Amino acid sequence: MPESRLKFWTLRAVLILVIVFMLSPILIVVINSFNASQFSAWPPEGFTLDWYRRVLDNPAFRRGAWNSLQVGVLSTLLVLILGTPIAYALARIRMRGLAAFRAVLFAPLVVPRVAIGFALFVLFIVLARPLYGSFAGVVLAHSILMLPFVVAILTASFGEVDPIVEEAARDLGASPLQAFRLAVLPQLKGALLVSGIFAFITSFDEVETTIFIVRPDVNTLPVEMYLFLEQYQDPTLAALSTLLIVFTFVVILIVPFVVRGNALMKMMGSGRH
Amino acid sequence: MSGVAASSLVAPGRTLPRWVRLALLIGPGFFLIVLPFFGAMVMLGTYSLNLRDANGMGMGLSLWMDFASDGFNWSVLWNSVRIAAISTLIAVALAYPVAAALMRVKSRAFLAFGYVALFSPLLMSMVSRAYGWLLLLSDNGFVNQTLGMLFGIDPIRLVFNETGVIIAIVHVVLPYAVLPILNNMTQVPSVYREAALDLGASGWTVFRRVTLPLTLPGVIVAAEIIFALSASAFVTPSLLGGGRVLTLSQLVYENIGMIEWGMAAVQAIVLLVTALAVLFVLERVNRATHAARES
Repeated sequence: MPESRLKFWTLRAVLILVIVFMLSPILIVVINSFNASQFSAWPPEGFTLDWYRRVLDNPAFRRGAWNSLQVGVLSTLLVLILGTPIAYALARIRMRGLAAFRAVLFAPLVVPRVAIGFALFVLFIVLARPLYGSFAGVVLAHSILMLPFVVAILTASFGEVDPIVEEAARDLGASPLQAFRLAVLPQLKGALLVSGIFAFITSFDEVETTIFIVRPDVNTLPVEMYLFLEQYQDPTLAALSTLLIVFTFVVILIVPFVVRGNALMKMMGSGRH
Repeated sequence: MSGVAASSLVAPGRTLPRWVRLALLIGPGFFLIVLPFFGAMVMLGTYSLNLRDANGMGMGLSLWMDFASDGFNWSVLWNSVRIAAISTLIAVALAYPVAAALMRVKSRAFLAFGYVALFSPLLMSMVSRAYGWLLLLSDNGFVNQTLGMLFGIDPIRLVFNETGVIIAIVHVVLPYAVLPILNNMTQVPSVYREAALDLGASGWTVFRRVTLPLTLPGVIVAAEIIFALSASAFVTPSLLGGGRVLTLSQLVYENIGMIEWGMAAVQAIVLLVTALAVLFVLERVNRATHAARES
């Protein structure tokens, strides 16, 4: 490719600067979680693990973490269980009206999360009072946000599984459910795992919808962190953030071990193959 | 997708009718998740039509009149749109050369590092990222202390104003801008550029007349996604703005606390319509440029 060196190095410089820009908030948070200064002064005034001790001693954070874990697992399971058959239908059944259903299904993607949160708040208050400030309400909200993503990933994966496999299983005497479970589902393991992890992480980080429908005793961890940061700029949050980064990376690292063929890169649609 | 209608290949009588299967597959998810969402959106619309004084009795446009006649609402809406537009411009202007640079990276290790570095912030909690920017940009934070040490200048105000909000929003949306642009670039064969160069066009002319028009669809998709994300952002402007940079999403949240639910409904709908309107306009631009290219 005939191209000037100047252009090449200019592009390379922009790339490196942007990488620094993208990593800088992560690095500063990790560094400051060990900074002895109460006010996160720069340069750091010394090394301490005190902020980590404070995170573990903070009852609001402990309760929030436990709440987030439960909500994350429940809404991920719900979305996978309900989303898989929908994705199967979208990939395999051709029928008029299905396009309209698809549009309806993906509508939450274009609605601002704050608007979804407030709309659910009104719905709960007016029609379903017990759901307001309940786990079930938060699980429903997160499922609404995640279903379109999960269905999109799974529909694409169903499209890659040849329907012949299933028909062969049926011809050999399997019931429709058996054929699905034995012939199709194993080929979907990767996509299910990726969308499951994606859904869990989305739920674990959700503030903008959740904050409208929680009450203090069901506050999720990110909501608790948001409310904390509104009040105090305390390095306790740096320690908590660092712990969460480690936690997320542990969750993410499960993927490459279980998924073969680099399905994650395919999911990200980078398409450099 | 290679989705062939499986049912047409299967012998009749072995499966349930198509619509029954469809209902069984879609029904549970529809009733448990999709329907509540639409119920909520309908409630939102209804609430915005409540009459302010009638305690929910009767319908009317009085809340919408109140919204439209209050200059404060317009200035906040303008804040949201302006911040989103500036963030979108900056993010696209950064994402385009980043995608072009990624296309040219030969080393697999550096490429992998680049991807991880660009996309790993997506795995970090939104609140943590906002906190990271507060630490970096505050008066005694890393940026101002470093500038002070190097040039001996006084701290520049970078947080609790629009600058800080825009920096942090660009950081949040940048990965979403890089992906569609990169995707588009990989689909444009390099022969077009090479042909233009062979015919004697300068590098700038090739970019302006060949590369940019061919990669414009990716840019527009990127702009659509990130405008919608930045216009409706809540956590980032609220924390980086420290209450001094008001956006529409923050007004919705504040009005809930003040039991102004009807007004919050109006504001939430305005927020939604704004995001959709920009999507619509950009989609029209996309079609127009498509048509222009094909003619």
